[in-house]
Amino acid sequence: MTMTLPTTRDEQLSQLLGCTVEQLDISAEDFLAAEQRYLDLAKHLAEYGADIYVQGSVMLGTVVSPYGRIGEFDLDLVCRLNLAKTSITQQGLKERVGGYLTDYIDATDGVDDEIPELSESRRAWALNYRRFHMDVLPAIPNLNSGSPTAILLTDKLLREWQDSDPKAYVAWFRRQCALQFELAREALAKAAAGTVDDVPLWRVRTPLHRVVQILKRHRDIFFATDGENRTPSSLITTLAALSYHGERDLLHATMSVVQRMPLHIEKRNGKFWVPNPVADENFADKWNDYPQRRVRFLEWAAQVERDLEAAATETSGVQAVRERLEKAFGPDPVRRAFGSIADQTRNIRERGELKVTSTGLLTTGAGIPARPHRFFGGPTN
Amino acid sequence: MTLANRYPDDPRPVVGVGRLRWTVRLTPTPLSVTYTVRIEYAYGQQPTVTVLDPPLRAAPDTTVHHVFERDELCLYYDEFNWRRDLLADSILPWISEWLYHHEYSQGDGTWHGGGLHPGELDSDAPRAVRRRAGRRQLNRAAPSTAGLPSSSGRRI
Repeated sequence: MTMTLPTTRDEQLSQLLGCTVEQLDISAEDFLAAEQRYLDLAKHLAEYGADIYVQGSVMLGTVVSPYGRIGEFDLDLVCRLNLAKTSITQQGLKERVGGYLTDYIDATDGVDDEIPELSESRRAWALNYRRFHMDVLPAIPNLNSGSPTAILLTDKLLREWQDSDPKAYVAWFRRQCALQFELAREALAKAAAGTVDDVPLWRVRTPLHRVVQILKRHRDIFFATDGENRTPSSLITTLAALSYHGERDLLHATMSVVQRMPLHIEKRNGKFWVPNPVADENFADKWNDYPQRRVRFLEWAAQVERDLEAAATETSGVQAVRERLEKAFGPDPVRRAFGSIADQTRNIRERGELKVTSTGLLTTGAGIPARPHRFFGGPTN
Repeated sequence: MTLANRYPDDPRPVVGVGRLRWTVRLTPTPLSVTYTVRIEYAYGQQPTVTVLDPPLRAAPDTTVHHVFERDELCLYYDEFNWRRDLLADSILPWISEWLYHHEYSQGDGTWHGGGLHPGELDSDAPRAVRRRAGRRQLNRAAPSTAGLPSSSGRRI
């Protein structure tokens, strides 16, 4: 989509924030590459009656590359076996899936000559490619739930099965930004000269999606040396979705969301609760075991607000704003964002659409056209 | 005078016989500072443009792109023709555009505004351009920590 030149400070800052997280987002090509890999797995595991699907941030459209690993992506795959809860233990399920994955690695020709390596992960197993790391979560259907997509996951400590319903969660998240979701979907369809049905849902980005990406990236930097107390993405995503009220301007949206998030932390019988809206699960469970984590969450949220406020009121110019953004989000994506925006501004001039107002402001609105030229040489466009 | 009409908020240009000196204030983006820029133009010659304030500086480990010595901006190759073009219509927008790309290149030092560097000139370029291009174009490195250049030392 063609960029427009901002006319207000907030517009410009919103554009910089959005472009910064765009640098960390998964491109269509990368998604295709990831898809090829998990479809290869799905094909093999179908023989065992296993259903593989992507869930989490990639499916939601809120993924950001991990800090220090730009261009890499972590994916969550559900590996659902059609077994009754009574017929298998968590340990048994985990081992069975581990066996299937080992067989897969032996049997497959790989994708693009890449065969993954198997490792144990936080929850169960991971398949590791060079740029994609797929957490494979063993699951069985939850037949006690009203939802047809409800599952039971193996718990990390294998104490009790964990209720989950990733597909329903995605649907819930999209309902929190329903109007913006449809508008964004239509815009993507129009840009691709296709219909709304042609647009894969994971590609749609509303201001809420971008807010979640901004918050996750800020969290990555803030907790870089405090991994233990790091606020989980499930908490950030859920609280942000509850706190989003349809704002379109990214700066305003992020500020409003981060101010409202604490209001959605419940207290039930002396325990802090942030309920999973689609399953019986408390996303804030760990806060009750480790109280400092909630404190750190509140400190982080306050820091987001301070950082954005400081950038928005900075009077020492663009360099100073950039330095503030680099501090909050890391230099790498911020610098790429500046470069990307500058490239698009050059394109605007090359298309003959750049004007300059009487105060020197670059604009696509009314002003004196910037004629074709080269800063000291080059083919005239 | 076209310049004064177009830029009514700036002081009127100082005009002498065949000469013009003008100072204008430009703010390329809403978050930018305001730059004070001097344009000097002698009839039949190429205009010279310098930034009086704030001092042009490069972020650490980067350079200021597309400047001649004494921080005169390199705005065009052969696209300005004094017989044909008005300063207001041609040079002024390019100055703002230069300032914009200067600001946006400060992160990693990469210039995204397009253009050419010395050594890439056409041999059939107009003589005036080649003479002008013979002046040493700098990509000025960041100043040492010994002290920043002060704007009062600029030529008038």
